[in-house]
Amino acid sequence: MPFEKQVESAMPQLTRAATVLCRCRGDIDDAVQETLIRAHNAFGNFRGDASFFTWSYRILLRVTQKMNQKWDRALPDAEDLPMIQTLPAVDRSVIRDEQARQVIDAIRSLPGRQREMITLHFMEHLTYHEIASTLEVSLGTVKATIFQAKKNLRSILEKQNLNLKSFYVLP
Amino acid sequence: MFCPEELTLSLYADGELGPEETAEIELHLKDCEACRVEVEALKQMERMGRSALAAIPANAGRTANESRSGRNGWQVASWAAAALVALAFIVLTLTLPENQNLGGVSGNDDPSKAQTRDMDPDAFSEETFQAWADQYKDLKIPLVSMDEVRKHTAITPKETEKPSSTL
Repeated sequence: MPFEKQVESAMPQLTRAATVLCRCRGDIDDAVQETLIRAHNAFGNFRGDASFFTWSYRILLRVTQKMNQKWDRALPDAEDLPMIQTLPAVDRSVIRDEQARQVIDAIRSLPGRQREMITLHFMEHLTYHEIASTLEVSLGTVKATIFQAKKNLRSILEKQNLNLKSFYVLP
Repeated sequence: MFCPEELTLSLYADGELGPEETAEIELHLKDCEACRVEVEALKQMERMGRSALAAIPANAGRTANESRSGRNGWQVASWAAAALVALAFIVLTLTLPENQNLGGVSGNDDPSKAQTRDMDPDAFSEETFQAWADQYKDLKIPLVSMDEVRKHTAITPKETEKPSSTL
């Protein structure tokens, strides 16, 4: 499939992933654009083993990590603070659905590695092996990280008194 | 009966266990209410996460940028209306005094009376006076100086104003 078609189908997913991963909402479009530029330059290496989104997700991670570091450095006395891993809540204008925003905010409040891995896990129906291969980490790391991320998510959402049973389910 | 570890239940919920381990867990779940609730909660968490991510609009970046710029349709319209009002005010301010000065004079009026009635001392200038002089030149009305005009119209020159030249 040509690059343009791949981009067309993966664009909504990349935007959603960038919304979860970017510290600043103004960076979402920039992060997606930068990811697509880099993906275009490296498209020759895309073998089609995984979906285009999964392949470009790794590029998106590097782009958003760099962008978030820029904001971290901009904070006053950033050198004196421990590594800032959690991201602030998403603006109401970006995600209007109250319950969905609560879950996304909970994901954004996770440490960076957990946030990145659980986002990919939720977005694509990948096996742990595929996630490990995509992110170039060991299978044990994926098991432990996703388990810890889910545990933390559950704890955060229970503190917010979110009634899990009333949450709508995708068809 | 020993319950499996949380991690094992999590892997089971994600379908990441082998056939033998899966069979063992399923056997256990038949008799253990607590583990069934735990597995159901883990699966619910999965559905919740997928639903939340799917609820993010595909144009979230554009929405964010529009919101950041803070310019919606109403704000643009109100700025346009304010600009129009300001423009109308400026046009009226620039044109009204001149119209008032010259508009009250007609060919049949006595210029001195017209000056008394309509003249705005701040707007009245040498140029305006010269314009009047040219207009009434054919009527052979004797020209008078600015001092004469001020004398007849009871307008006192400002202290800072330069003395007017005699025509």
